Amino acid sequence: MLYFEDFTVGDLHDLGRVTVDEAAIVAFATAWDPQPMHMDAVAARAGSFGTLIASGWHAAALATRLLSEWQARADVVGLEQREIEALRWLRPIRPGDVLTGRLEVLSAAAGICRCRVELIDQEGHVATSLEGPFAITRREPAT
Amino acid sequence: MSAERWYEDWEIGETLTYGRHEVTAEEIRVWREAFEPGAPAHAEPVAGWAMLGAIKIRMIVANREVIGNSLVSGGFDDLVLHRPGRAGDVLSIRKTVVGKRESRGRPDRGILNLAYEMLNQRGEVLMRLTSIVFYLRRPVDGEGRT
Repeated sequence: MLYFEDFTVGDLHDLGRVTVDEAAIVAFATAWDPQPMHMDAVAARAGSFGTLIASGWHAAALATRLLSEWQARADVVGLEQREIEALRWLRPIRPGDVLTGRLEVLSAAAGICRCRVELIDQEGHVATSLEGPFAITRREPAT
Repeated sequence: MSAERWYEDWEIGETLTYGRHEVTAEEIRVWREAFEPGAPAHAEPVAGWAMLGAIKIRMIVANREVIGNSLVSGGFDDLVLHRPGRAGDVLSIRKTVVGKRESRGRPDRGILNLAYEMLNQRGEVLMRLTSIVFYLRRPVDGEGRT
């Protein structure tokens, strides 16, 4: 089990990997972001990116998925995220991309860890980055 | 065909409320399965920040005729989740123009700073965030732009 006290500034945590295939990009777009660049492969080939690209909110959702799986796997107690200071869609996510999640602890005080979470593609480029506070349960209650 | 609403047509301070999305228990269940697989089975089924963001873009895409010629966004700042969405909530968007400037590098576009609030049927704010969105500028004539 990991409590707040187990996180130190500079810690890097591997959140695991997810492969994004065309079907997943199209399914997300069909449900939530039905724009041609996310769901019409033929139109997307002629567009400025040359392939389908994932919705930005699909990228955000994949970050929450990797965080959720990591929380369960590492047993992070009470992890909660209710604020994001900044989220950036830095590079498009394309069919076949394999994204690795990485969490870095930027500061830790009073039961709150400010963290940067990045989705990194198979070439090592950061595709999506977000920063903000995560509440994590303390091992010992504050006195 | 969307109405012609260009960068020039937005004024700082302007507020627009639009969209309607009723959250269902089924879509929360499907979302959880895909994007919150680590959530304990007994956790209350709610829509967190990412699902509310997906609902937001869904309403934006469905209301192109209201919001006009927006282009891409590079991200957002200062997201705060005040309360999650629940099945039965009927959500809408309140958008306020908080800043605007012309693009220096791209004379065909301008940049709007937008404050977004996700409201429920009681007018309570579930989530807010601010976004930087590129808009096309009004063409001077049929051929070119200023």
